[in-house]
Formats: sequence, structure tokens, C-alpha cells
Amino acid sequence: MPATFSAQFAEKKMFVTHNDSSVLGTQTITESLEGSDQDEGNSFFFGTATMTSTKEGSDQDCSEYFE
Amino acid sequence: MNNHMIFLLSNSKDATCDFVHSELLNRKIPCFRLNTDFAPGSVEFNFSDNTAELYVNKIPLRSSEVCCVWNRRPEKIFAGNFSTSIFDEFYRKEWKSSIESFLKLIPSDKWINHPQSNLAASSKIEQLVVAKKNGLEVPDSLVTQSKKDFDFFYEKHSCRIITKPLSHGYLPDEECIYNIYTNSVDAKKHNFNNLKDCPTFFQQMINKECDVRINFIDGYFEAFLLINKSNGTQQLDIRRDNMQNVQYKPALIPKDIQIKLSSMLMNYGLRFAAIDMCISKNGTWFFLEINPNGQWAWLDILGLTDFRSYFIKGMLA
Repeated sequence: MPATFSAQFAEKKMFVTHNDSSVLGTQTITESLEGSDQDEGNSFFFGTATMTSTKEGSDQDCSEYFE
Repeated sequence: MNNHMIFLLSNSKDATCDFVHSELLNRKIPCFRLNTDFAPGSVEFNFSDNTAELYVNKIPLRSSEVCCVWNRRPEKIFAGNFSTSIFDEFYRKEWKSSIESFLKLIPSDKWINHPQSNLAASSKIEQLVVAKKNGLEVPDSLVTQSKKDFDFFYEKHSCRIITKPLSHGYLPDEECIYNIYTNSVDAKKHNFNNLKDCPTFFQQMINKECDVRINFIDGYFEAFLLINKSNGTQQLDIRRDNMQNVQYKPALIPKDIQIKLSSMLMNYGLRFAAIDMCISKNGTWFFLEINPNGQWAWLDILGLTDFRSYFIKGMLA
């Protein structure tokens, strides 16, 4: 797999375990700030449409909203 | 009473959703939360007599009862719970279609934000084009695989160039997280061997006085200057170190900037957005990007804003 120019800028961080507690503190939310603006869920529902090429599947699988 | 329920669509680990959910419960505002990482057996879907109903832990909700869907952070259903066997995948797809059927019955204007609006606003490059069309200042930008084009751009901006991901640079692995932030580029220091293999995003480096974070909900703007300087120079990427050394100052957005941003957001159909801008040393406001589903709750937690109240007001509108 070819690499990207940008990969040389990757910085490793400690893994952060997210807290699903209903008791919130600043830390819980800010821990995830660095990456969470970039939301892969943007296209989670109704977002993407991929056409399949197989005749059998094409009627059923013309949309993959969740991926 | 019809059409009164706020539907929170997220995952069980979403602290921002917890933050709003708890306030809705405190205020006794009817709400219904679906975490898409739900356990098998805890959710039921039913459609009969032209009516769709979803049950979470036996509590029912009709799609017609929903006044607002907060499309917060839904994840892939049953992610990690199943193998990749075709029948497990089929099971997941059947669930996916069921929940989507329910959601499809809720009109798009009741969503914050509708996924299609989020998707429409998800391209950084297209955002820059639209921002410029709307009269906002944007940094000169280049996406290229060509070293020759890069060299020309580098010279044009007197070697003051930054690079950042076109998608996003948050790369969680099993044991750690890699981040690719905004970085300055040094033509002599950095390795350009892979430039030809993948489009890379470069921009002129703005001589920043500070960054600006703008939160928007249904016509309401709230802006903060984000200041983190080292030797008098604003950090290139304010998110570094979890923003721990950032100083915040409330900001007044110039009226003409508000009008231009409003026009952009309306065109995308976004009821909510977190917008990144910066102010140059000479006072020019530069548009950087719109995060259609960006973070905002940390400003409330820090006691700087009460955006949650405006958000809830938007949900009830």
C-alpha cells in the first residue's frame, strides 16, 4: 500500500478510554476533542449510496446508509 | 400529545449526548435515546397499520411523536459484536434497514442535523469554494500530488505553508491514537517521496493572532477567541495537548461575517454547526472550516457558555 506525505506528521498518543458515565467532568469531554470534530457518523444514516453490480443484489442493496 | 418527543441518536459512550440527556431529564422534557451500539434484545422495531414504532427497553416511540432528532454520534449497529459471516452481516443489515425505516419517517426539517445536510457540508475543499463565493476570506489552498506544483506554491507563499488532512487526522488504533495535526511544511526537511501517491492538502500559513470557534444553532451564534501562544506566535493547531493551555475570550462576530456564514449554513441546510475561523495579525477573519457535527460542550463545562440551553431551545422549536 502506498503511503501518504501526511503520514510523516503522525503523532502517537496514549489510548484514552472514554467514559460513558452520566456524571460528566471537563476531562471526559475534552479528552476526545482532538479528533471528535471529525465525525465519521456524518454519513452514517442516509448518507452514502453504493450501487452493486450484481443483478441479484442490486434491487435490495442500492443503498448502504449506515456505512 | 403528538410530536413532542426529542429523539437522541448516538452511542452509549457519547459524553456530549449524556450532557444534554441529563439536562432534558432534569427539566422533565420528554426524550428518547437510542444508542446504536445497543445490545441485541434491548431494542424492538414494529411497523403495522402504517405506523412505525421503536421500543428501547420496552419503552415505545412512534415516529410521528418525534419533534426533533439530534443526530449526534450514531455508530455502526452491533459493531464488534458479530463476525463477518454473511448471516451475521444480514442480521445487521436487517436491523439497519429497520431503524432507517423509522428515521426516514421523520421529516428532514426536524433533524439537527439531517445526515444529508452533514454530508453536504463534509468536504473541506468544497467548503472553501462555497465560503469564497459567499465573500469570506479563505487561505490560498492547494491539493496536489505534484512536487512541481508544491514547489511553485511554496515559493508563492515565501515558504510559509501548512499541511493538514483532507479527511481527518484522528487515527485510533487498538492500543494508541495517532493524530495528524496541522503542521508547517519545510521543503528541505520533509520527505516528499510519497506525495505522488496520494493527494495532499496545503494552505498558505496565516499569520494568526488567534483562532475563533463559533457555535451556531438555529440562527444563534456564539463565538470565542482561542489563544495559545508560544513566544508570541499562535499555535498552528489549537487542538494540541487537548487544548489545555488555551485561553478563551468571548468574541463579537462582525455583522458581515455573520451574514456570510448564515448564508453558507442555510445553503447546506445545517441547523447546527461548529465553525473554525482565525483572525490574522492585521485583523482579517479567515474561514477555515465548518464542522457540521462538531464539539461544543467543553465550553459549557468550562463555564464559558450555556450553549446547551440554546441547543435544547432549538430542539423544542
